Amino acid sequence: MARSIQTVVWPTVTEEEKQEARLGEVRREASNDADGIIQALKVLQAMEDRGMLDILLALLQRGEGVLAHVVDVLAKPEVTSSLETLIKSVQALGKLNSVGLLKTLDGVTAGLDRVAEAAPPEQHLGVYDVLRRLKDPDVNAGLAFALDFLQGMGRAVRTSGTEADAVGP
Amino acid sequence: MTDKYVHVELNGHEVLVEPGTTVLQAILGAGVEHPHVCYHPALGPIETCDTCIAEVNGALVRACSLPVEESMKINTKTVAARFARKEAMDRILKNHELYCTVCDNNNGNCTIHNTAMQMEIDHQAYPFEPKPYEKDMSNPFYRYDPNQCILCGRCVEACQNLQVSEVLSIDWSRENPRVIWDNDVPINESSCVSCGHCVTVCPCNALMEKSMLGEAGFLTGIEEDTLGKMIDITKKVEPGYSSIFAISEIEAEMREARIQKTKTVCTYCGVGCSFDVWTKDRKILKVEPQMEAPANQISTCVKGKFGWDFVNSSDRIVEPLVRRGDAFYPVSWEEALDVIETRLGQIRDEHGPDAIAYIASSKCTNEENYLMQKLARSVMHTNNIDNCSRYCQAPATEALRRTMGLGGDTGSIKDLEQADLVIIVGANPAEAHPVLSTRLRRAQKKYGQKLIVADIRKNIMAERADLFLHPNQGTDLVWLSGVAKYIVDCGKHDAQFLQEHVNNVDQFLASLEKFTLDYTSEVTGLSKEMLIQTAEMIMNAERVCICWAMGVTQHLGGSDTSTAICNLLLLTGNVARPGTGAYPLRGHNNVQGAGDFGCAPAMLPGYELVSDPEIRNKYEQAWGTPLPTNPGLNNHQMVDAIHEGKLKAMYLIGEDMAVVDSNANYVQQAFEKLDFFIVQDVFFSKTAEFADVILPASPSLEKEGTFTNTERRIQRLYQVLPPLGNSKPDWQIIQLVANRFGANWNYTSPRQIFEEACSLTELMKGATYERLEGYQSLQWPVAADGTDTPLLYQDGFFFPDKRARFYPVDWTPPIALEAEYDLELNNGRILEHFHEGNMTNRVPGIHEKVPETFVEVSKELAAERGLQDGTLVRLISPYGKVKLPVVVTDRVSGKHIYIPQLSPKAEQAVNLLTSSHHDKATFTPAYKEMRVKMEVLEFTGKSPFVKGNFRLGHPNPQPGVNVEMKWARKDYRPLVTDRS
Repeated sequence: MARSIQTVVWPTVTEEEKQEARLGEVRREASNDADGIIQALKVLQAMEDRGMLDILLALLQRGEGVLAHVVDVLAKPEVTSSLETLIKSVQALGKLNSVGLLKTLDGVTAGLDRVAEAAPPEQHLGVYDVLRRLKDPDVNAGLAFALDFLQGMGRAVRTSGTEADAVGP
Repeated sequence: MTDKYVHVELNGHEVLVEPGTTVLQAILGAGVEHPHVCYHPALGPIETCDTCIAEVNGALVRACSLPVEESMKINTKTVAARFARKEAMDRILKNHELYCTVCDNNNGNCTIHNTAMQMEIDHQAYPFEPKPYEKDMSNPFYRYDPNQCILCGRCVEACQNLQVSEVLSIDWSRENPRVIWDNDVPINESSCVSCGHCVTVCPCNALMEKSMLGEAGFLTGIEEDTLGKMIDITKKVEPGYSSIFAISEIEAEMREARIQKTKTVCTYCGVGCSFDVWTKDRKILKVEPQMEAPANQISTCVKGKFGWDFVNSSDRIVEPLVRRGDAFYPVSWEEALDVIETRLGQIRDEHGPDAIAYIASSKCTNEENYLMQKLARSVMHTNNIDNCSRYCQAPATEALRRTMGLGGDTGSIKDLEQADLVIIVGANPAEAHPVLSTRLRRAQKKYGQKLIVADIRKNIMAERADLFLHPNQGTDLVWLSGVAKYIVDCGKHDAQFLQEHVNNVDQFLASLEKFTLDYTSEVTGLSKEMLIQTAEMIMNAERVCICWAMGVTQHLGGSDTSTAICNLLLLTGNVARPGTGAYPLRGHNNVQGAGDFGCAPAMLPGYELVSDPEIRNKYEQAWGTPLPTNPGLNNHQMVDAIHEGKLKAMYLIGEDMAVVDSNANYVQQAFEKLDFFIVQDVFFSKTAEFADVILPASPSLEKEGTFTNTERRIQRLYQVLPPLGNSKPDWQIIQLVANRFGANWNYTSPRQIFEEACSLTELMKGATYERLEGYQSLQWPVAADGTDTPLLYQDGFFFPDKRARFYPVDWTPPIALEAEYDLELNNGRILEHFHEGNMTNRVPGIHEKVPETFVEVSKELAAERGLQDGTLVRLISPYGKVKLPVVVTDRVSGKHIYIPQLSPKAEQAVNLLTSSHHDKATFTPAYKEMRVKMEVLEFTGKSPFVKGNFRLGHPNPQPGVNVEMKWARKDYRPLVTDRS
């Protein structure tokens, strides 16, 4: 004889028992992966020493808000445009031949070194202005300035690494 | 040999293609990459997107829709074709914002993403323009985002011509066209049945499963506002799509690491849909159907696509429970097995092995059913083993074995698609076998297949039928025989087929004598014109299929009516040819397999007879134990035997017998009398309330195994999730029980069980897991070399002389009751819920759409008794009573009423009203023969049909996406060469 019943008596599990069961699970898992856990503890301590855990914790706790702020900042026109420039630059860099790039960068360094002592130009000029005002002594000085830069750069480009290193003061 | 093919020139090379293929299929078939967005192999050409344009004989054409012709010159690489395709894609991207990395559809299978990458689109030629529409989030399962919709029309084509629910269309007349539901209502207020076809075919993220949103990607769970800004930034800084694509490809690759995609076979109905389930830990992200799925391809119904949340329900039983006094107590597996060993052992020792009975489950796998009957016979030494096919399909199996030899559908769903005429008798496939019904609706709408529906209720298929027959309840045998006689009288039976392939012809023809048109019309209530029209439709059709289900089988004469169907098919030569045959539509996912693997008292696996000493000997050798010779009890007899005090204990798996067996009060009283009762289930069912031990089982998603669908198709399911809590797959539990009784089984995988079972049978000798890998399937009989049999009897019928047999039958009038029981009760399935609803009612979206059960009454009855939607009535039969809210509908007429099997509350189960009367041959209860009386309890109340019920919607049938209306728009400039 078994009447239809719906009652299920679930044993009352105390908070301590639950905690004990969970700790048991942790202990079991920990002993299985002991090596990895010891390494991970070292990493954690290193991060704590350098204050990184605080930062991470704050980021995680305020994740949505932080992300919203970051996005707000990124959405500003000037930042967006910088990002665009950045992505384009990265793309352009990707297209450069690495040997050529090194050489060019060396040249730029050399050029900058060469002009480091010269005074900076006062204003930006259009091409036709430049052509018209070539006679102006100041313009002449500016042109010389640029030619100096190009000369320095050109020399670096033409010569081998060791010689380029020698360029400059 | 080469004459079979068409020669075409593709980019300067000669290619041979089959006639009837399209230019696009020819291009893709030759291994040439070629873009296409709106074309989908399951749907055919839609012609909205223009991205597949190629140059054919000098003209620009849509490759998807143009059939190949001899000597055609196809060029995909000309500048003009490339330009046209690029322009087409640019137009698409004007409608679609590309933010792939933060899009939930970025899973490697996004058609837009992949096509844009393939075409190396780097910039948006036309800026994206938002449309003035909000997202539609109203449906619980999916959402539509008009802003992302590219108006390709795949969803519309799928809804109008594959699922054929005819809900979706594109309103091309607006300034900003969009997809609309019905006549432009929110999705959840439309006639949408939530089958998911539209979501599955959407080539982007316009239609998405809600369960994917914010879950699929690493960056997609971000708040809407922040996400919007991120999309804007991504767009502003984008230096061209190639880098966006690169990043999103990386992200998509990362998603692979945490999203598991596992093939399974649906656990609901007998159609046997298979698909991938996407999961993230225990969360079910979505069901993703695949073209290679043999029964359903990309089709699903609401249950298969969206009905899986029950697996994670907090109602799951996850510990063994043991009854002590007036309550159940959770125990360990060892303790539960101790109780079983002691109590079952005592009863066996005291009363003998036949005092215990075993009920297997049509929800469980073939392997589990095999083990259950092996436990009963080999370990516990009794043939008292049965399964729920006794409640539904045993009469159909009986009829097929009487006439043709094998107890299964004679062909495949493909044959149903190919038939010229399909007759559905007493079945409601649009709700009970949804995906199978879509094939019939598509064949009728697109290819002119004719449909006759014979039913006492005007169900969805009846609405669509070319001819709807509404016979008196329980008289199908009479009209089937009357039509058969008329065909013979016209001399239109297939005399040659009968001579070559069928025995007992004269005897059968003589048995038809009494079924004159006058007699038939009088008994059935069908007019002579209708009977003649039916006969003529059969005579005029080259290929005829008949589908039937519980409207035929659940009668006193269920086996005989099923036999009359088989006789009619034989008479007209409509068997053993493609596009013909007999299709009893199996209800549960594995009702076929439970029988195939021996869960019936008289049959061992493969329908081998227990009574045959040679067969018994074979199994005794294989199992290493003696086998019982006493005839076993079927389910029905078991209940009687409990009442008689002969049966003392029962072990029942996955079956809520207390509410799904007929005459539920009688069954429940029997359970109260059992000395010991083990119930193994996923949920605490009504039946479990009577148990002494409840064992927690795992549902289909948590195990491996095979199911066999209504086409006799064996398919493998793979484990999607680990068993929840301490639940276990049924095969493991049965083994634990068996080993307590000295079985010493050591099965470590379902593969071992399957291969042991199949190798012992003649029917499935060559079936192995290897041959069923992935989406492969086998339709039995399976020869030792693995050859299967999609279409039966092409080499003769399954009798020693290879000839079919007419089996004359006579009509059994339905149960008669006193006049006070004035209403004719019918019952059956509804689309959203499966059977009594133990699983589907725990799917929140389904519960939201159909929260409770109801009784359908006719408009006439409503007018007569003052009923309206929501009226609370009590229905009383001689066997019991139930209280239900009313729905007034023209699906039923006169004094017919209809109650779904759905019963979220056990006290509302329709089977409290049904009787224990049964089919003479098979003991299947006559569920469909009952009369009741009605008392009105409260005239007004809340309608059981709530917002979200598709029955309240108003479908909007269209021929398809109506692309001509797009082409006629002023803002559309053609990209193909004008050929007019």
